[in-house]
Amino acid sequence: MIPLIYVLTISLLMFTVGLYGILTVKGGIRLLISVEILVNSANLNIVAWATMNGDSNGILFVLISVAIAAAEAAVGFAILVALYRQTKGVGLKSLKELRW
Amino acid sequence: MITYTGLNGFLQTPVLAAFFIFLLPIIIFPFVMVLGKKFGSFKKYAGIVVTSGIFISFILAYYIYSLNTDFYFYSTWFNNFTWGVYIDPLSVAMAMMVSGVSFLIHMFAIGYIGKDPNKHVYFAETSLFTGGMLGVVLSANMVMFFLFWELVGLCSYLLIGFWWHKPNAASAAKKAFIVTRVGDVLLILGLAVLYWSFLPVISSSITNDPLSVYNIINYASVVMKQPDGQFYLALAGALVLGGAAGKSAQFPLHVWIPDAMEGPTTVSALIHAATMVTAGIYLVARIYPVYVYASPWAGYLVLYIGAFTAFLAGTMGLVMNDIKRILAYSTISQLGYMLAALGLGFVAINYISGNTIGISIYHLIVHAFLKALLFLSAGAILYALLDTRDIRKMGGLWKKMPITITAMFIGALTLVGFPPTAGYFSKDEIISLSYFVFNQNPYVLYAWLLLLIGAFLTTLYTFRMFFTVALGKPKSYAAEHAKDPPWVMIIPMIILSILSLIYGIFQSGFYSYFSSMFSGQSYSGTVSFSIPLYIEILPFLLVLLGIYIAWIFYGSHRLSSEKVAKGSGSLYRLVKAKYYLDFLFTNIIAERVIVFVAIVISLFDKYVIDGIVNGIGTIANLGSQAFRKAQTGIVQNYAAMVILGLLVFLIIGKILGVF
Repeated sequence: MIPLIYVLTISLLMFTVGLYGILTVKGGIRLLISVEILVNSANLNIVAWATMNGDSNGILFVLISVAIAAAEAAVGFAILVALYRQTKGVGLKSLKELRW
Repeated sequence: MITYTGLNGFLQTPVLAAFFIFLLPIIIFPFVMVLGKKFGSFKKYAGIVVTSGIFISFILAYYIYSLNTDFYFYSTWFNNFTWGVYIDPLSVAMAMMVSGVSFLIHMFAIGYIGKDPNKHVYFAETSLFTGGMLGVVLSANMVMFFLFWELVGLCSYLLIGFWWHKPNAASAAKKAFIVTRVGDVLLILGLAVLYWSFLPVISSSITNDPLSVYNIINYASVVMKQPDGQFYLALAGALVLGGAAGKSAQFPLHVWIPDAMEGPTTVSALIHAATMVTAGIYLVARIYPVYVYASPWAGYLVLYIGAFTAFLAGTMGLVMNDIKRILAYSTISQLGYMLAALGLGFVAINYISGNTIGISIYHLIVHAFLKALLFLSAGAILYALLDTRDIRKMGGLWKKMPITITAMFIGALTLVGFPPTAGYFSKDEIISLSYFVFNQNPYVLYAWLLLLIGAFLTTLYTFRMFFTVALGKPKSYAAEHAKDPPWVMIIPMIILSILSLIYGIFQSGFYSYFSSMFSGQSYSGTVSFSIPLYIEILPFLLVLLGIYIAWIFYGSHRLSSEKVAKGSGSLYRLVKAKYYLDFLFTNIIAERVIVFVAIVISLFDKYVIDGIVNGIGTIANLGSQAFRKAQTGIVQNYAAMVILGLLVFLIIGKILGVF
């Protein structure tokens, strides 16, 4: 069995990559990928702890989380399609309406 | 006295009847106003609707009178205030007089105001006024009283300015409103003093309302025994007297009534002669125990303000040429008599009973009849002469309009107190009483003299007006072609003439009816006094002398009044200028003192108060200008801020040892 600390380290690395991604990327698709990485780092974390404690609830919970992540990705892509229709691109700089 | 309270008490027949006396005309007001505006064809029925509504009020008032029991209904309003009705001889007599005279004047107004396109507005407002005035006399609480008091003030303002397109009428309405407002401020202060002086002593009473009429009447003697109680009662009495002086046009707040004559004559008859201006007298009579138990100076103040006004207004009535203004000064003068009668009672409560209230209110009611009569006949003259108000342009009208001028003659005889009209029984009683009190109390000498000379002046100005109007030759085209008005206007005049002539026979019955108000008090009983015969007939001799002098100058023209006026040059100018009181109030007090104060206050408001408010706004604005740059609109910046914030929280939590 893989020791818990390895799994958690991978989870932490995934989280850092995802966080770096959502703060720096310029394209909408990449932003969505970063969000997915973030969500899955959390999922991995939960699965690791659940397996160690022998608790199947955590694994079921992750299944729900994956389903929600899929739905969220669908919403995200819908927004990006709408953005593409407005600006002929999915660059995040063009999403500047939310300001003074 | 029977006491009712709560919903169960409210639903008793007498209480409901008492409420509908004043609610009915108030309910009619919006209907007439809206229907008249909506349907032009309704306008011609407005007068009939309102007149019959007021007649129902009169029937209800008569029903309350026929019960012949005093009762008091109260119900909690807010905190320790109550609302309700207080029924005793004083309020019943006033309610019957107000609704009865108002009914007759409304009937006259159907003819008088008949051609005006806004007559539904006129009738709606007079209906509201009548309801308000009936509310004033029936209120059982001084706060409720004050609300109705202001309501009649408002109606007075609206009705004086009924012909608002005339600049005189508009400014007269404003003047009336502002001058009475001065009195109302004093009245509010007086009520505050009453509240605080009655609050500690009424714990054993049936209601904990310090401004309830019931408590004021029954607990004034307890307040007197408190430390400084007499002083506080006198202070409250003097301040309330200020309010009464504003409404009842007593010196020095009398200046608004002559200008108020710019309104329709029926308004002058209803509001500025018979009903509203008597509200001040009613107020002083309503809270009479306050004056009875106060320090004596409050009573002297009432007495001398009344007596001095009776004299002063009489002198001004002598030099006016406007028929309505002569009557206005006469009203002020007669109101002075009523107030003086009340003051005599307060000064001399130890050796005459409290029933001087009855004497004063008897004169009030007789005066309401005769002054409504005089104003209605003046209104009929104005109606016939196309609004000519200068008596020098009239003349010879007795032949042209015999019924009207005969009614005016009866009114004039009653006003001067010629026996056996009602005025003889009411006014001479006050003068005789003042002489009797003077015999016991030398300080009352000047009151007696002022009232006596006032009676002489009354005769002089009344018959100056009457002879100039009725005798001689017509002095204008309109006067030559005058004729009596239609029947709807004549009938009220005839009824009022009969009342003026025969009301004297009710004198002793009226006094004994009023004396039941004082049962159980230390000063109960009827007023009985005797004075020498030559004093008793002195007013009558002065009346004869006054009529004779008026006849010499204005009837037979044997002596010329212009020469007398020229001979007494500066005195004549002083009186003609109304003692420069208007000049003093308008040009000096209003334009110098009050405008200066107003400018200072306005600058303070503009720069200090507004400065604070605007300063706070400016700071907030600058702050938001600086911080709104943080809103870049880029989602990633917000995400970075969220993460940064989370980090800060985590670090602070770690340092504080939360985790």
